[in-house]
Amino acid sequence: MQKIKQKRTINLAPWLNPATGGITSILLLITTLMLCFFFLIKENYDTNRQNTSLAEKELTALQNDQEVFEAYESALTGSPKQFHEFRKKQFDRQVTLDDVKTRLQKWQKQFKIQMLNTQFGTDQLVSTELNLWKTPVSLDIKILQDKQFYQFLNKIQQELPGIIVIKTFQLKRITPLTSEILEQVSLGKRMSLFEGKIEFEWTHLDTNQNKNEAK
Amino acid sequence: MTIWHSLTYNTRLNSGLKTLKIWLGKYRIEAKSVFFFWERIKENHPKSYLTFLVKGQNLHAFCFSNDKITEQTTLSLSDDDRPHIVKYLQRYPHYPLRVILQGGEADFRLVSLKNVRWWDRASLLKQIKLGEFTSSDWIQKLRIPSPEDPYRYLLVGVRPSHSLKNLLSFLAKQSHPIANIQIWPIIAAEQTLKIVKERFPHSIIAKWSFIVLCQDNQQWQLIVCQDEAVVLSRQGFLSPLVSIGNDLSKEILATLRYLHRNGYQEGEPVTIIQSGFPEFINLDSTIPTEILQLPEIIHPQNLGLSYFSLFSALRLLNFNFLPSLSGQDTSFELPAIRSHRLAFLIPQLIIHLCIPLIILLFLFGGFFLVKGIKENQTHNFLSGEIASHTLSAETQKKLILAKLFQFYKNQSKPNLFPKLKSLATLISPQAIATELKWQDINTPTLNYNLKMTLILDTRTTEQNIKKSKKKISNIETYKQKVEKGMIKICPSAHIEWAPSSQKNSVSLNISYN
Repeated sequence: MQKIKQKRTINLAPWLNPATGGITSILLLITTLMLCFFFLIKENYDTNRQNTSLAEKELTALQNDQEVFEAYESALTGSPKQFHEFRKKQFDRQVTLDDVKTRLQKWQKQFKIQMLNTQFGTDQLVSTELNLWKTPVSLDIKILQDKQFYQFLNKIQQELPGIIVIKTFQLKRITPLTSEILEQVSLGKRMSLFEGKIEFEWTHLDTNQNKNEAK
Repeated sequence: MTIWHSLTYNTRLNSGLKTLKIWLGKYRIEAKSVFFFWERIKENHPKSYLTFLVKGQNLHAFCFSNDKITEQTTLSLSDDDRPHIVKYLQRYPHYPLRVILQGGEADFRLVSLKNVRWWDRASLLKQIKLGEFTSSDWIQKLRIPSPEDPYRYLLVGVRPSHSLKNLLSFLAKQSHPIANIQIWPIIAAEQTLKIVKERFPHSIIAKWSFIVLCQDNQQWQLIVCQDEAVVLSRQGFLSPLVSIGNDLSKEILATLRYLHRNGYQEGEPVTIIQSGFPEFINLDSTIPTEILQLPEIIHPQNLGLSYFSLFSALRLLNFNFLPSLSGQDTSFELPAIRSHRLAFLIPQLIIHLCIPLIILLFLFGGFFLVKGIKENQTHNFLSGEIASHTLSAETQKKLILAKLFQFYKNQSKPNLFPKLKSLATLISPQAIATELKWQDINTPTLNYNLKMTLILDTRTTEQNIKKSKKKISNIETYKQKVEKGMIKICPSAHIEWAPSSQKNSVSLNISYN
């Protein structure tokens, strides 16, 4: 019985049996090697594919950059007016809120705006690469003449640094023009006939803000 | 149709290792199983076995107990004699069975493939097989290397008679394990040469050797060996009129003439080994000859079971080699046999699973390898392109400016005031706006909306009516004027008028681009 048991043990493990061990071991070894080989190849293929995909993205970005650069170069020579406008708007320079406030105060005096209430909203990041931020701005105004309101609005759109996109503006006559008001104005008193509201989005370059965000 | 497969166990090459020379493939594994099965039989029944000698239409059965013949009987190959065979086998229920074929059925063909390229050898051997034997023959291919020719093959073909085929099919169905099926000339030649080497250690057996055996008092058998490989076997009857020596001498000379086509050169020395004859063969020729005499008669029944012949086993596809044993009172342990069977089933199963898996892995591996190489090439190409497109540090600074410029171009909106100014000119001087609201609505068709409350100067409009002499109301005239003017300013503009609560006032809603 012991002999039989011993044989059984050997026979149930064919890779240990000299009769079958050779072929079984070779096959199992080949299969294992093939599996390893297969997974290595697959791993290599996946890595290569990932690298290719990254390289494709990088190349596309570079090609886009080149196109942008070429467009910029051609704008410099082909349409200098547009480039001049870009320079004039100082979009490539960093502008702070204080600069904007200073300019608005200056224009308030210039256009004899009786009351100017300025509200700046929360900044939104537009482009990480270019450090561009978008700030919603709201202005409440009281003014004597509607003409002055439009001039002020035009000034904001044309001369405020950065990109100005006016979302809405309202103007309402609050008092009719009477002889009493005319008298008051002639005496040098500041009077308001119109009440207005301007809302616009101000897109500008701000590298400091981006750095602070990153920290 | 019964298909026979021949199997090889090359004792000359592998006896030391006690293993078969195996190749990938299930038949090779089966070959191995035959050998090891036989080893198991020898372990369990080293001295008790049956030998069936098939000679002509007779079946000589020998029963060995303790390695000695205890019983000897002659049966018939015919189907009518089957009950006797069954009865005989039932007497020795689990004795292993060895079948020896003795007669003129075997054909030999010695082939040298020394100068053939290795990739052509298999094809050439197949062609020779097809040329020399028929499809119904049992063909055995043996590689018998000699010092001069390492690629020497012996093809042995047995043309089985119908009754022999039936007998083996019948035996396969019995409970007795069939150890092997052997050809007598090969067994006899090997055994004789073995004895000669023991008896005459100083004699050198020539390249061509003739073994002449006395089968019984009436029959002789001539076996021709080239470098100890059987190339020819002949049988004949002894003539009572002529002396044995002269008779066999003529046969040998005739055979030598025949052997010229098999590579025998004129004048080459030969060794004649004669067994069981009372007188020496006198070869009346100039050929250098050495004659060795063995007094004993070599009979099939004299060989022990431990002898495993070169032409060892023939395998039937529909033949269950491992017998199902009946009864528990046998010394031939059933679990051992079953576990032994499992030992060959498991590797077979592994082969069946592993080989397709290896093929699949190879195919998919190859596919991914090629794809990987292509991806790598693409990556290299793209890397080159990236290098060529990469901008210098100075240009990078300009690029940022260019991107800002691009962004500015895309995001900045056109000046509102030219259109608003035109609109103001159109509305005035007949009306003044007391309230207005401008909005960037940004719909797919229209971008801006302007809503105004206008107070009309009726005096001015009446004067205009007088001038134009048209009988229409003042407000309607004004509306028509504004709408016409608006078409010039913005053709796609959408205008809506609404009444106002105040006198001489209207609400104007304009959507435009």
